[in-house]
Amino acid sequence: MATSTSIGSSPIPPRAGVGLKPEHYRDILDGAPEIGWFEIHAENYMGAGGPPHAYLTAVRERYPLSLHGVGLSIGSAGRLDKAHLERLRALVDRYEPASFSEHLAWSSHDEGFFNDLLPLPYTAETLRIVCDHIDEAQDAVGRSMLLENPATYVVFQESTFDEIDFLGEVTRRTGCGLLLDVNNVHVSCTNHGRDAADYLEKFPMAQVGEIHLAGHAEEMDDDGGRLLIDSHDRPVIGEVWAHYAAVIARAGPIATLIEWDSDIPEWPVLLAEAISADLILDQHGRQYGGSETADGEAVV
Amino acid sequence: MAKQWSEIQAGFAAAVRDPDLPTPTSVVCRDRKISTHRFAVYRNNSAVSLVDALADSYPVVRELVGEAFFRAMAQAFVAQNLPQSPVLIEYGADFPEFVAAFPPAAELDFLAELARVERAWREAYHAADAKPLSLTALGQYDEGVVVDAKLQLHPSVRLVASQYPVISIWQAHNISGVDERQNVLRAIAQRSEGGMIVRPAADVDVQWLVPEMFELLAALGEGRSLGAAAEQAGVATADELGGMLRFAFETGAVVAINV
Repeated sequence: MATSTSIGSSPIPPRAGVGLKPEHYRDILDGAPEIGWFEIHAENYMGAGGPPHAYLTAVRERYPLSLHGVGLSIGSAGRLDKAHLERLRALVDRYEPASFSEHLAWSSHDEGFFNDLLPLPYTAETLRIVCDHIDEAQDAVGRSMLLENPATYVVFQESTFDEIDFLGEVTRRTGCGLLLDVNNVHVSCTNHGRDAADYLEKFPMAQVGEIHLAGHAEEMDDDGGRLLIDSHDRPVIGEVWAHYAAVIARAGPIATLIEWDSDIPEWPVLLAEAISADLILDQHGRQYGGSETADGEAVV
Repeated sequence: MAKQWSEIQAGFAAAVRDPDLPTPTSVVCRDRKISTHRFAVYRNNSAVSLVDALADSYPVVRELVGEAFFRAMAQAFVAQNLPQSPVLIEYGADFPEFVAAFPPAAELDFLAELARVERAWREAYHAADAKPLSLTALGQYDEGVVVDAKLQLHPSVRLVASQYPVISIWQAHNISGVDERQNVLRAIAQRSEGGMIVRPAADVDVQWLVPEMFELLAALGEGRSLGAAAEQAGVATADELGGMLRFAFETGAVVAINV
């Protein structure tokens, strides 16, 4: 059974967590919801001070935390931003998160920061670049990281590796773990005419320290087919829940994040999504305790 | 020999930024055809998310000019100014200057200066924390010492001076009671003004200042002694200075007295 013990001495509990949003700070601190953990986008907490740090400190005193970067640009051909690595290290030192994760993607180039997770071809050359960057990031941040599979809208003519083989080789060479985003699998597989269930069956679950679930938008492609957009602005759809349940049935409980980053709902709506994930985790032997969870009660 | 990733990436990056460039030939979809529609998702994600970031940072400017005008203006800014750091808190510092030079906004002279207030609000919100001093802290020093003392302002303090009443305009958009709002609106028509944006604890405060108060804080912020700052601000009497210092301490703008 896969667990998150490979990612450090203080792993995120194998329960549902949600992305921490300013809109919900008061609900969380006043209501003390029974929820396993919270995840933050690291870049939103890189200011010097103010309410974001005050609230995050209070949340961190009560819940385990996962630090999820969206700006390191690991897939870039150029060098990593050393100042950004230092900022990540400072956050890790200050908040001692249970986990640190980033994306198999790039977001910065000579022109600047694109604020989007852009795709890369999977080749021997990019494998070497990505592994060098992960080695550098793990050294700089001082801990092992999880690498997330991307949602993509295009593929590259130049690719010579399958995405799963590429991810597997990265974990083998760098010792990093993986963050399996089941919605990204559904989005990418639909967009590229691939079977998501087959992709998930081949995914190296032993390396997975965390799962992401999110909602996506659907458009019609030029050829009349489905084009899915990884929008994080709505509930997780049934197809993705079904894939997730199948993954958990095979691999056992794994820390699972509900991501909802725009059109942010009222807190109870987000909490209900987390409870849905907990129900699935429950069916497969969810652990109720751990060094950092305050309460052993089930949320159901 | 196959293209290097650096070369492919440069082409991809350029085409995301410039919709007039053709879709990179590397980029294909399920039938192995080049897909401009698919590629447009990346162009759109990047541009729209950055416009959204500006919209979050400049809510009053946005409210005043309307959603469509604001987004068109922000889009023009984004097209010329990609963030230089993945820390988006810092993005848009140059937006007020851009607004000032944006031809369609030329008749709205006050808009760029209002944007400066909102930028100052954003900076104050994320500024380093510090504990404000109370006025009694000043009382422990003899008068002769106080004259030469330097007051260290809170790291969040931002002073904005304008030939328009942009502090009042900002306040009018952030005060919910109709009567108060009308009062502020009445005050608007008459004056140019300066203001202080400060975050003594959790909440950012936006205060309008009389010119002498503005000058006093500006001089203190430049590191002048209290005596020199009072002189520079044209403060006439000790009583007046006392009242101004009370205001400075009570708003949480002072964090240290250096004698």
